[in-house]
Amino acid sequence: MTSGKSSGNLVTAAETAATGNVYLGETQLAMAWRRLRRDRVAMVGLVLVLLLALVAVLAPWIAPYDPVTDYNLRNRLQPPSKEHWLGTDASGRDVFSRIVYGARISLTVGLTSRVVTLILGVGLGALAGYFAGTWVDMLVMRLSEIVDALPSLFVAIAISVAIGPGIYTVFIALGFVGWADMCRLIRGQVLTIREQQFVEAARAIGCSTGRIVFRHILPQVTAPIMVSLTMGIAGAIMAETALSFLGLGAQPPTPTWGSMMNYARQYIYIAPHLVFAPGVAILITVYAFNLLGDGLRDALDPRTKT
Amino acid sequence: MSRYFIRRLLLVVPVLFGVSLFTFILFFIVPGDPVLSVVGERASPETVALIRAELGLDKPLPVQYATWVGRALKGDLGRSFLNRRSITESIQARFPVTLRLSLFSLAIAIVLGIPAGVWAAVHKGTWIDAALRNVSLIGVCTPVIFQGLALQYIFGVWLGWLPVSGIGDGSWRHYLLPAIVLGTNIAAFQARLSRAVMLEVLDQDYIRTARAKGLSQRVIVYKHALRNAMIPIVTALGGSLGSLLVGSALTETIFALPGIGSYTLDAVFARDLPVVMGAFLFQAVVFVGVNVLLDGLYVLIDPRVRYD
Amino acid sequence: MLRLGRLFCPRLSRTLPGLWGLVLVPVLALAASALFAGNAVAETPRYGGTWMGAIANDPPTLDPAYSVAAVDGMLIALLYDGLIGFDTEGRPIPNLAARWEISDDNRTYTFYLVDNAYFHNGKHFTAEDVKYSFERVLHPDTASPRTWVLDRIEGAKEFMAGEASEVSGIRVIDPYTIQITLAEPFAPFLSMLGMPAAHIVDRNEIEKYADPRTDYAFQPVGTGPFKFVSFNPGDRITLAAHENYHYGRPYLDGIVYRVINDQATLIAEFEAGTLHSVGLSATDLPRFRSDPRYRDYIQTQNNFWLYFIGLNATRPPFDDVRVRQAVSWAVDRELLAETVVKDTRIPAKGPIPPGLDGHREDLVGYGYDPEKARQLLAEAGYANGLTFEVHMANSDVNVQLFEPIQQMMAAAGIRMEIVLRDFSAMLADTTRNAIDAFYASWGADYPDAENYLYPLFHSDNFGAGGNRTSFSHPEVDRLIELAQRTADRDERIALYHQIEDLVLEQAPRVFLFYGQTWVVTRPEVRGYQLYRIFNADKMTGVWLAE
Repeated sequence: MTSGKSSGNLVTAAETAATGNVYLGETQLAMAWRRLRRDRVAMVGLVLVLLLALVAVLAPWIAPYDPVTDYNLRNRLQPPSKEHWLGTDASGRDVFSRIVYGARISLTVGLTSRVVTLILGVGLGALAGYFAGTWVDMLVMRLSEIVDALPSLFVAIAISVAIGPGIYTVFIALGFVGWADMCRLIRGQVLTIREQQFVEAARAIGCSTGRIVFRHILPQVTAPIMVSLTMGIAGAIMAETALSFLGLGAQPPTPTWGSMMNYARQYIYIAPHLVFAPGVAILITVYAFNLLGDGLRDALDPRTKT
Repeated sequence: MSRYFIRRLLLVVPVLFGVSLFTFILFFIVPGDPVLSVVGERASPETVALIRAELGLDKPLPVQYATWVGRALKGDLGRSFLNRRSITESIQARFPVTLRLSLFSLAIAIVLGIPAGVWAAVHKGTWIDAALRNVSLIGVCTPVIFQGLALQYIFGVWLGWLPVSGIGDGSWRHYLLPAIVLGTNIAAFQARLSRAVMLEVLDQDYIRTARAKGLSQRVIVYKHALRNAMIPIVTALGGSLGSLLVGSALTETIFALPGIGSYTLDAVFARDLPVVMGAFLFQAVVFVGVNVLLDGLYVLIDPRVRYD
Repeated sequence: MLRLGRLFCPRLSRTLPGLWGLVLVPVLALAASALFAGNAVAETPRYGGTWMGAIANDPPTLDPAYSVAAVDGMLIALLYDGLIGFDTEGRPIPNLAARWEISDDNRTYTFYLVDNAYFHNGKHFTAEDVKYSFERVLHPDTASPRTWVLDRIEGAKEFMAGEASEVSGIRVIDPYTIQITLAEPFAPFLSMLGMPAAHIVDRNEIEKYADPRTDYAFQPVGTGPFKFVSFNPGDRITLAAHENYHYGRPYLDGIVYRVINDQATLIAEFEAGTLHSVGLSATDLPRFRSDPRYRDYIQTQNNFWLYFIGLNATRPPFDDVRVRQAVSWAVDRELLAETVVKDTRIPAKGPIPPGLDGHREDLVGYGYDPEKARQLLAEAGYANGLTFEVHMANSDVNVQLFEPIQQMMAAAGIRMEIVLRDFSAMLADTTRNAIDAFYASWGADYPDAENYLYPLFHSDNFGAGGNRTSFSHPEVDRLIELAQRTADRDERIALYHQIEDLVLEQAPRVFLFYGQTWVVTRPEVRGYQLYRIFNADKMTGVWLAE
């Protein structure tokens, strides 16, 4: 139970993203990492996620063509070939290159919109939970109920229309409509934990409220946060496809998997590869994050026996 | 218990108020002028001013909002800017379509999702578990726009068994394809949830006791475990029902169904303020209503739950 | 304008009444019809059967006085009649007016009406109905957005101001003769009488209601070949044959228009055999053409849509004519027409589409010359390149078109950013002169070149009037006004040419394409024709073989 050497790069990244500056008990982390390493399925997920991240980072070196400027209208809608592994799109651009660059944007969309959700949800949830029973709690809970009661897709659409479409709009719109669930979840967890002895002990020795929330309470809710993050990325990528269909996704010529799929719809009979390429990319991504998310849930669950 | 529900209902009031205020403010941030869609091109400035006044858009915003609230409290949601139809009547005409679609979808989700989840839990770690996981992930990853198109061609065009789109005479056949699209997506989620919940329940002491007593796997799973797994499953189903009843913009549009979803979507794009306000309010009422009913349901399925 | 195209783009087009069809327009093509190709064997038309069609959106109204959208204009043409109608090419033909005479000073039109027309309620149609219908549109209490269709009639201004109880220029001579006098000659007037707002209503039906705008809107009663049966919003609208139609009962027993927004769903419905016709987009066309089941039943017709990029002449950088010209030189229209929009768009040279008086096949216009564009930019002080945003309604079609255009511009040193938005927001921004460049289309309300030149380029029409680029040029204004008053066709055409040349030189818009409609019909469909103008099809010649 001493601090493991690999106190979890992966967890650190997500944890930082989630709350800015979370301190996780190292022993607990080390334990989780040990469990995760033993979970073969989860490790496959982790490797896939790392590979996707690598593709995203190294896109300019992997892609044989520029995803935007290398167009050729005389060579459009071509099936896969030696020059173009996944064929060409409606402007005659290399689909493989666009998929590779799309990894960057789609992963960013997924991650960022989840992070927006988490910051709002965890922040407000922790606040409400800590101040349970006060007006702060009341206000936050009413707000979350209002957001919940609003039809989320329509509100996302209205927000997109209000601030104009684009990649940032997608973050804001998806983040805004998604935080209420997370907020209630965290509030509930905080409520439970707050009453536990170690928190009372911390309070007794004079720890400040913020310190108690960040150092003692939030680390205890890592599991739901991590799972929501990994699972939610898939949802956000799919949501971008839907917004794209409604004309509110990323602006062209930015390659995102969602918009590529959406524009491919009209060519499904004459160039089906245009649908399958981003479709399979989305599938692999969602799959990878789900495997990882499942593994994390098991690994972070204190009830799981080691 | 009745005190609990009265308190809950009272808390709904500020929520609905918040929903309407939020919608109203959002609408005025959104660029676009509803009068333009009403008058088209080349209308004289006098006509534009006249229509603006007729629609009440020339008044200060707080007055417009207060007027709307005053009418809404009396149950009058007003009329569409665009086609002057009564919004209450439009919702009455369209909600049954969304309701039917939702119930069909939910039925599909229950029939496919829960057994699949239970089955996967019972066979955890085997190929069955893996296969079910893969199928449900593929389900989650297929965008509605392609699922819809594929179903329309397979069952509507090639086999000719079912209508491609529309509500036709309103029979179940018209709802089947869109319900499959919506239902399988929920089923995929439901299967994953059921599996997780079942695993947790199956790991508990009383199940081990039951096993020790030599009860059959079947009895253990269906009589003891599933019953105790019902609360989270029903909660999730309730959540799904709440979102379904709000209307699905994409599915209703692709399948040309005149439900609440396509109604709201069109109104947002046309800047039809009264329709957006009315539809959002109605959707909020439905969503909150489903949740209050769910709370009641818990009492029925789990004797341990008491509200006081 | 439905961007819908979309389906998704569907959303857009709803607004359009007439103009501005943004790119989702292929859906509207349903409204048009096609020439029945092939199968030229003489067959005896058969009565009976219900036509299954589709519209992209609910009509906001079926009252001619308030109709501003293409979808309601199309339906109003079936439910009502105007004094004139249009043939497939957009030329005026008799309808409620069996014939007409125009006075030598080109101000007085005498219409000799048919004596066998009846409203769907059985009432006999007479000249009084014309007078009532026209005065109703102009009456201030009606608040019709389409007063401009009729306000050139003598005395209309006084009537609209409430200073006169009648429009002096509308005179009922006898029950079957009506005379209309204009305040001054206005050449396109006859064509304008084919617009939805000039369709004839029955006073009794309107006055039945305390608030006709609300209550009459979906209880329409006209003299048209089909009468209204029912409308279920979002689902369908049902019409039935008018047995006493003055040009003979239509062959069809009825028409059902389903409301279907998504182009892919429309195509699937057609393939399932549940629609009699469907409009084909550039991406559908190759597949249908190569399919032996469909290829003999495809029809095409040029339509009156003009696709362009508007450049705001009052805001930098487009306040400099050289910059506007440079952008015009930077698009390879021919290449796009051979690839992305193959066979569905014709490269445009100028603002007047083919089929209208004034169109010149030999017009030169702008070609693709990135070097020339660079040179003009350098002269204008943009030697290091120009950056601008072009706003457009979101649709698949627009994106497929503009991603290549973006690269073509790049070759000329122009960095063009694409901004996709919803149509309504973009429209509002162009109305208040808030954006530098936008992509849109303009379709004729009435088939006359004046309907392009006056709204798009005259300085009276800034913003919602149609001149959304705030283009102002005194000589262009003067020539347009002159052409409007010029009755002689040849003289008028000469003026149109002069205006077009000036406009091209000033380049307030980058003229990209003229539209072409493609429709495929079921094999049993006979007599279906495609019309250039959106509200010309009366569906009276269509019949269904066994």
